[in-house]
Amino acid sequence: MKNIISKQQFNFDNRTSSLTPLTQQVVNYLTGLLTPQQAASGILFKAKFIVTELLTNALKHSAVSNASLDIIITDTHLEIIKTDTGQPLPLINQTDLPVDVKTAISQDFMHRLYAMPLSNGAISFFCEETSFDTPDINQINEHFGLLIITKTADEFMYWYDEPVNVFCAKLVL
Amino acid sequence: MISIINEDKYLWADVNLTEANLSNANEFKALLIDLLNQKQKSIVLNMTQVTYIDSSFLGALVAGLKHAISMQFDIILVGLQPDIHDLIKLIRLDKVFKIYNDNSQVQ
Repeated sequence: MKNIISKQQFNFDNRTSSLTPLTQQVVNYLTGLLTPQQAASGILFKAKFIVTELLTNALKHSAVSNASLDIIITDTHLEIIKTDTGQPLPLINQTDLPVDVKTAISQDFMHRLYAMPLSNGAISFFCEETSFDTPDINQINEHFGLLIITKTADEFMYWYDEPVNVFCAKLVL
Repeated sequence: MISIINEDKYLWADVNLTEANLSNANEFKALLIDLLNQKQKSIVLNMTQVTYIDSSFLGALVAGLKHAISMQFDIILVGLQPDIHDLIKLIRLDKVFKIYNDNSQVQ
């Protein structure tokens, strides 16, 4: 059972103008709670970009008027959880993806992004860096949101609890 | 959004944004591509003023770079804030963009 040290919910009104101020609010909240060592370890940098991309995802894809951001600090992790009631991630309807098996969902010459459906219905995301001889700019994906969150977080999962979408990124403290 | 500062073998330009995000990414991409088409040379983008960036804007930069390379030109990034430089390295875009601390380092 995780020991929750601190928890705060932030409301995002799905306006672009609110993106930066809300991200800064979260960073300020965390700055007040993390130890100097934790702050110096890069946790704040990672949290900032995870929050940025979760909120951008809400703006681009949820098509609803608001989303919630829960910031939870336990004795071992920082959890960043975004919930909204927009359309579910299309992956959730891909019933042919094998459970507990990583399946590549996107790839370019630098990264391979995997989704792994879990037996509880959630989807866990993983990323691998791929080696290359010569960079080919034309092979680069122009959509980095999921990649940024997956690479930044120690654990990143999505689940759909109708009608709620839940994106959960965890960072080890 | 993009101010031309100087022009020689490169087009030297400042990105006049503190928040480079979803709200301005498409317009930025269009401006960048227009500049490449009009000026027909590589562009050095001074990013010193940019303190916040998201995946949408990074996508716009990549789209601009793709267009530049198709014309056998380049887009060079200068003056990245440390957090933003770290993000670009995290997603390995430093493998495709030339990045310098300031204009004086651009050859």
